[in-house]
Amino acid sequence: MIEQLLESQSASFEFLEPLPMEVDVLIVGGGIVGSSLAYFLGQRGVESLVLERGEINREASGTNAGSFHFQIALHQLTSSDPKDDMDRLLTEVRLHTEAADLWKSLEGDLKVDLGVHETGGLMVAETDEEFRLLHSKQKIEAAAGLETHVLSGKELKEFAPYLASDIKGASFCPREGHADPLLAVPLILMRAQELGAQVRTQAAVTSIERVDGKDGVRFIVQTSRGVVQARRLVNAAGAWANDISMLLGHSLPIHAEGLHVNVTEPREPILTPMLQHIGRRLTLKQTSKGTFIIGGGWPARPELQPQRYSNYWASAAGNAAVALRVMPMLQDVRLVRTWSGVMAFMNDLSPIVGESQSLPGYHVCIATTGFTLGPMMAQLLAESMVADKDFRIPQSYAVDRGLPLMTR
Amino acid sequence: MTGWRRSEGVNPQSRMPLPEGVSRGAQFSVVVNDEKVSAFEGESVATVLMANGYPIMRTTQKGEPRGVFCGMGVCFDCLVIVDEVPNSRACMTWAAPDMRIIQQQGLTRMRVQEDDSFDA
Ligand SMILES: Cc1cc2nc3c(=O)[nH]c(=O)nc-3n(C[C@H](O)[C@H](O)[C@H](O)COP(=O)(O)OP(=O)(O)OC[C@H]3O[C@@H](n4cnc5c(N)ncnc54)[C@H](O)[C@@H]3O)c2cc1C
Ligand code: FES
Repeated sequence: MIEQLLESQSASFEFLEPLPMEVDVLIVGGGIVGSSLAYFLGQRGVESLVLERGEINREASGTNAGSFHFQIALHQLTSSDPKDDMDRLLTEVRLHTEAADLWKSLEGDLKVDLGVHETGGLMVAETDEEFRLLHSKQKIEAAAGLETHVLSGKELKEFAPYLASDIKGASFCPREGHADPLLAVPLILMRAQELGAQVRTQAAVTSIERVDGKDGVRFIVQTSRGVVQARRLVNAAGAWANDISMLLGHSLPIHAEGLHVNVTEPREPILTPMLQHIGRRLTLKQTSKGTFIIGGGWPARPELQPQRYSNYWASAAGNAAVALRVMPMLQDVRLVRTWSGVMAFMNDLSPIVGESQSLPGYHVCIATTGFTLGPMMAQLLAESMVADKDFRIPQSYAVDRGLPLMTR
Repeated sequence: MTGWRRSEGVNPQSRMPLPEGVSRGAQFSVVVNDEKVSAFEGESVATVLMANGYPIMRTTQKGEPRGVFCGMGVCFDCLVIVDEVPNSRACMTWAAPDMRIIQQQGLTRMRVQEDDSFDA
């Protein structure tokens, strides 16, 4: 693993070289989406250039909690009855199983250690109403082909004796787990470079001109390090995707939010699965080093500039309280660090993936649980860009859906 | 406690010489494992251990030695048992007269809370 990181470091020496004049696909953003896309395009023989305004993996992709979320979670529901969101959830969960397959094979395909662990994930319920919700969401998961089981309080006591004894029950998804967010992007990008992708850092995109000429569409992109031209442009700028889109006068239905994560001191191994809560904000897991990672979407200040984010004390306390409620044993475990990052949330909860109909050549790729789904979304987009498979991107992911109807 | 290796040739009374105008705090003794060693007011447990020839403060579960790594309370490599409190960070704990310091093996077990219906 250390060898691979050192290798990726030497692959990063080209990051500060001058920009190329021209490229087929220009990808804005050096997070998990941009780097996975560069890899999947490289695999298909398409040349790309990843432009990153700072350093790679410094934003959401390097600050997240690394959990794989495949079960239907609280933030995906718009009401207390999952049936209200049936179509969207079915689409989503089908793709979640695909994302699970992709993460499972990714380390093997890339021949790198990304810290992938399929530990299984438990989503706990504290109240009767929450427990009912587990049953109704499980039906949708089953219909979409994702294996989950609802465990009663009694079964849960046997399965996970370290949980509070009065938890009502939980759903278990054997495919959930985690990977290491500090490894994923540098190593995926290193493999992308080996397939011909170029990467430039400290290159902030500041303006984009789209020229629809005789010989097709061209993008003339100004950056803080000079100009580059491209045939196709992909917006993989995460929380800043709308800023990039607006450079083309195109708006995306997203907003940025700050979230925080905590890590504790190491303790002896006790917790194997990832824990989540169907009704409250919690993700909790123990790493192979013994530390507990506690997150789940507690807010941090969504500062977009400067690129250092502050934490809310109340979030750290609130997050820890929910973790303690579910796993009282954590009572004497000390928190070591709290950090935060900024990410994009979709206003209508569906990812945005594909090519714009109103501005052909312009592509977007963003998802909310983007660490889990980023590589898979990037693969879908890469497929559609070379059209080597049937078009599989769900209609609900359409890039132009945030535009006024007349302009679509 | 067996198996703990103490560095040889250490003079337990020795400390870095101080420049003029700076003085050490009062001297007292603490107990490391079963042995009485000297300490000075203002020293951390980590300082006392290192000055007395104990660079290894704990072992991992697998028996690998660990000592001061970050020196500032974040790595949790320097854990020792101080006055019966396991998992104490040697670098963040002031030494005090008659303190009992025991080198620790592995990480302490997670305890089941008696009243586990802790209400958040
Ligand atoms: C605290 C936290 C915890 C999370 N936990 C999880 C989790 O456990 N599981 C999960 O699946 N997801 C989680 N997420 C969400 C996930 O991290 C993101 O959805 C995902 O990383 C987004 O990847 P990305 O590549 O789209 O964005 P980013 O990683 O943010 O990358 C976008 C890049 O674009 C660059 N950029 C922006 N503007 C410009 C410009 N003008 N020019 C050039 N480059 C530019 C940025 O510098 C940035 O590096 C979490 C997010 C946060 C913040
Ligand atoms: S040396 Fe790192 S916590 Fe003490």
